[in-house]
Amino acid sequence: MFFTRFLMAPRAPAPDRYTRKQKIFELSKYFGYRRKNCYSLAVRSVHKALQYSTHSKIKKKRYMRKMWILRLSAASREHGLKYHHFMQNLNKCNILIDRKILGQLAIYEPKTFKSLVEVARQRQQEGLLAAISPQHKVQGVFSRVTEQY
Amino acid sequence: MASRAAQQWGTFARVWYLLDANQQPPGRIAAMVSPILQGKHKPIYHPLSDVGDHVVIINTRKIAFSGEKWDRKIYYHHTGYPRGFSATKAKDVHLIDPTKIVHKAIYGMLPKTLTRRTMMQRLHLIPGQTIPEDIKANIVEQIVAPREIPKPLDQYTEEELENFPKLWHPVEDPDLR
Repeated sequence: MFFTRFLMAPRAPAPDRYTRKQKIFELSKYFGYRRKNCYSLAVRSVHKALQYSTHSKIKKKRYMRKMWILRLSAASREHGLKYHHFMQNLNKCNILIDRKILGQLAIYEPKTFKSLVEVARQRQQEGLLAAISPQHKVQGVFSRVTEQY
Repeated sequence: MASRAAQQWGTFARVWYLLDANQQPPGRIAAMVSPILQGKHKPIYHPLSDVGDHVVIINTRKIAFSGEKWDRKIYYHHTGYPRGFSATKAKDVHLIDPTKIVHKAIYGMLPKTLTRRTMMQRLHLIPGQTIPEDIKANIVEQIVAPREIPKPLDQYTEEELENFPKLWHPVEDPDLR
């Protein structure tokens, strides 16, 4: 039986004016001036605030990644490598640590981060050597082709 | 387990840098100094946490604009009152206040937020060579200036002048005279 609605009790009464307005005032408690007390102003502010909240949930991921990249750029430059060289060569070595964890390593485990920068630098040097002198077939440790699964 | 207190002190300490602006272009100085004032050279950077460092710039009187900027570059200002508009050339601004050009360059390169003024308070501009004692006591490291100062001819030794590669050798030919 699909339409079970008709078997249920009659429809609950619609909320009264006080209850309807309280739904908005609960969300506008921390606003300033009359926007927290007066319904006409509060309802507009609350709708805008909810829009900002949904958009920010999407944009937060972008802002966090930008912040991680800024921090990694600073951290790798401390060791003499630029961010894009660092990430590119780390990827070439199949080190897939993400930017969030790399940033945390740079802050809390500086020696670990330094060793990662050294790996990237060594891979960069091997790549440059291979590009400059292909006929010598320089076999580097980090640039040896590995199986990817 | 050893304490991480020393590491924490080292990470969060506010450092004082020195920069010599002798014969340096003010724009390139500003591009170098503004990330340091913001704290963007640190892995703990966040725009809301105040992690910028101090920078002391000496010899701002000796800055060197390239090209004809001393005559062509004009600083505009309006006081907000009627007839309050002024257009001053860079050379005149520099004569009135030898630190103003560097100050304006750095102020324009910082982010236009409320923290900009705080960052500018951490910038110390000295027109000459003498640094006040209390600032001198704080300075930790010197930043390498952006432009390599070319050596004037009279500072080359005779050996260097002789060994310098020549494009052509002057020929003693009596017929040419």
